[in-house]
Amino acid sequence: MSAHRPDRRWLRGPVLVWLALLLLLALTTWIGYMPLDHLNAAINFPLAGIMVALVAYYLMRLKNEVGVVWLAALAGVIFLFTLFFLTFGDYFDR
Amino acid sequence: MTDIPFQSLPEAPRAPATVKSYLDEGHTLASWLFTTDHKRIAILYAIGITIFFFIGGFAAMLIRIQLLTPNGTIVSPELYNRIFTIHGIVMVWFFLVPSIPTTMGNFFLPLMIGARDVAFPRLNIISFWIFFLGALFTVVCIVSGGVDTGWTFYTPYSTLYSNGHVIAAAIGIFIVGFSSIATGVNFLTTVHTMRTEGMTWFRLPLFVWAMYATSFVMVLATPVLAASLLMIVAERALGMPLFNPHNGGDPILFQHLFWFYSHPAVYIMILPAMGVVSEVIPCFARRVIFGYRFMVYAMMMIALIGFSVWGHHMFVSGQSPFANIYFSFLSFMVAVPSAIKVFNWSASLFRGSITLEAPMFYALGFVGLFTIGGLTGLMLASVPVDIDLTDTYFVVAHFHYIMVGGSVSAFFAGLHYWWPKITGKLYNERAARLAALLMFIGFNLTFFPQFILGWAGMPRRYATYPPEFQLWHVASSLGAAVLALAYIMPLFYLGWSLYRGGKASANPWHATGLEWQTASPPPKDNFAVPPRVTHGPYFYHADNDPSQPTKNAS
Amino acid sequence: MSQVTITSPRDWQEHDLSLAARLGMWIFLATEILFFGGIFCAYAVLRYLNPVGFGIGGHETEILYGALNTFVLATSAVTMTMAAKAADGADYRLIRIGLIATFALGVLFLALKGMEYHDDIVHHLVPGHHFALADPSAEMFWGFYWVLTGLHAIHMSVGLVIIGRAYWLTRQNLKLDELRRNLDVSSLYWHLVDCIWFVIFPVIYLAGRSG
Repeated sequence: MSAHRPDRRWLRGPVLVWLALLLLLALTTWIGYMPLDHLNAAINFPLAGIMVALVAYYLMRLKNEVGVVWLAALAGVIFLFTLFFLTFGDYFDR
Repeated sequence: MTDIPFQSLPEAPRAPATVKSYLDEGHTLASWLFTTDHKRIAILYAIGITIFFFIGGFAAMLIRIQLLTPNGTIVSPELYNRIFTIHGIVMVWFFLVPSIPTTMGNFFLPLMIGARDVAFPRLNIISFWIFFLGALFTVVCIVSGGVDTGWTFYTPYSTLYSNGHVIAAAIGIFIVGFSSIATGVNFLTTVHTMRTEGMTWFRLPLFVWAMYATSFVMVLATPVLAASLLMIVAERALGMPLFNPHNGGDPILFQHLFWFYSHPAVYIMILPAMGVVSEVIPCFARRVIFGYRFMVYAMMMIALIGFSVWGHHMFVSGQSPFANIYFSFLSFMVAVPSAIKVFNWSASLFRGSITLEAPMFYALGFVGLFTIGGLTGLMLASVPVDIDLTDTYFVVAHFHYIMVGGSVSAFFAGLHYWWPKITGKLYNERAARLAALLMFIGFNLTFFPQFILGWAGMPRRYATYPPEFQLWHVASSLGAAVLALAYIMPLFYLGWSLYRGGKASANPWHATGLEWQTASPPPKDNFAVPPRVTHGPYFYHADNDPSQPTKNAS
Repeated sequence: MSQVTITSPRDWQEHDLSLAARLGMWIFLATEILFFGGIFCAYAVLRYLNPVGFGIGGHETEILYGALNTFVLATSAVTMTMAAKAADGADYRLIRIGLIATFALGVLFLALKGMEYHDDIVHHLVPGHHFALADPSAEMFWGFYWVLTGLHAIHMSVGLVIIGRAYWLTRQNLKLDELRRNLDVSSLYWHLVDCIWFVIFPVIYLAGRSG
């Protein structure tokens, strides 16, 4: 380890992400209390999705990752969507 | 690109007089039970799945004895329900799903890509113990408590009404699922990061591609099974009403979650078999596989589309007609890549120099039996036909043609093909061919009558039946006896070969794969020197001149 | 013709260990996405079929605990990243501070959860004979509450063990590469557990909020 203080300017990035997460938390809670019927879920879940995306891209470092890791990260999401999509196809038509 | 065989290069390192094989690296029990060598782990798994195969087979024997007479020969309907449940659970999860991947996959994946081991060797041995202890726990719980739900655990029977060790069985299967996931993670990472120099993606043997596709499915499907089993336990043990109609729950929801795993599970069971057959046929026909790239694309398409067809198990469950339509359509689609593979295996035989050693016998049997299973699957994928055939013996015959006629045949093909490499010994070819013939005859005698029974209306999971079905049931049970004999024979001649068999050379079949370019059995690090690959895998003849077999392959 | 050409003896080369570790962990994370995702799918279907009951059930959840816990985990996500990124520069002091902070926040989360569970039990919000609400599908909602938060808490506890081990490794004279691999992988796991909570929050705490 160097004798000088270590360069910790990179901390700015994660702190910005933290502020964004808190903002989104406040936003989604606030919206949650509005009487919007079905729109509540339609807004709150994508907001949660944005929080997850921020964590995945910046904090889990997908931003700098190679293709095969992106493939692994996306595969879970894509097949989960398949489960939702085809299952709801049944329920929407009942 | 000159035609220089491996052994005659002047710079090649002189092979030591005897290579210390992986079998000689430690003779204690601990050196086996706590090994991290993928080859030894493969053997541990082989012993494990063999034990479970015979447990599941014993249950099958009881089933076939029961069905010899219309009013049931030996057991009550309640006990019968428990017998077919344990047969299904053990055969699917503790034999078929692990079979080829954990034995031949573990042994040959690193060899075929030129690596020393898998990416996570410690995870590998842990995955074996999770499998073995979890499966043992499950079997003990089922036998001591009697689970009668069928291997499919349908709600609300399994959650609200069934008496027996449903919770323990569900937990046991949940635990064993981790073994599947661990194997999948290991194989995927190994193929991505440990291929030797020159081993590009399209120089990989089809068996490696099959392991890759299988791992992909194992990793993505098994967690949903875990979720569905966990929810059964939550409802049963903790009183959480998740599938209870009284609370607004939907029993069919369980079926959606269960089959989201269990349909891809059947691809977990067949893709490895396809990989084995793709190795055996080129070797014994002395031909490059026909359409290598399409074989690869077909396996990947099966793995991908296979996630979208699960509703074909639910055509009469009460799911919407719209869902029936799209699941049926997608099920027709998924048959196409399988058909492509059957065409390509057949085309690989054209102008070949075919010999019928035991591995080839099993592999050719696979192609025929898998085709019958697949075509009957298409019949069942058609909604109007399925409405009549669902829950009949037609379905039972269909999936046994694929699982047993297909996967088990391929397992035996691979077992015999790679036996010399794994053990360094040669088995008795006459005995093996006899067993293969008996298996083919016994299998068809057991399961073809079941197509007829199903078509005539015989329901599955019934302990008794109307007398007019008896002829076919007796034929089927007779076939099962022949099949049992065919399965027991290898225990004897393969076991005998370990003590008295001839010593196998590095390449007794004159095959071209990387695993044949090292000693039989291989050393601990698989190769004396790290290999560098310069060709594709099936170089049985020059590209434009099939009549000229290449030097090493003659 | 064999597939192999040997031109000279050479040594085995190590493959990319860091990529293998990250890839292996991301594939495992994909399995966790599908595991929780399967349960979320069941929730989504049943909420679609029983919107009123789920709203009634959801109204009884304690949003203060939920929001506070979300805040705690969002912060721990950042402190964990701090620890992992500090390893790039061999900044051992910051690694340890990050790990300790993350661990403390994790413990705080579990403590808050425990208090919340206590409240829920006192209010008879456990499915079964004494369930507090009359609506049968509200009982189903609360089944999901216990399953989802319980599973999450178990994953969080495993995460604490992983962080504890990572801290222990910083004191073991490991090669920097090996330590970085462990921190990368531990950090990925921890972040996933955080992300699962970010989805649990609207699923459990924002349902029926506006009713």
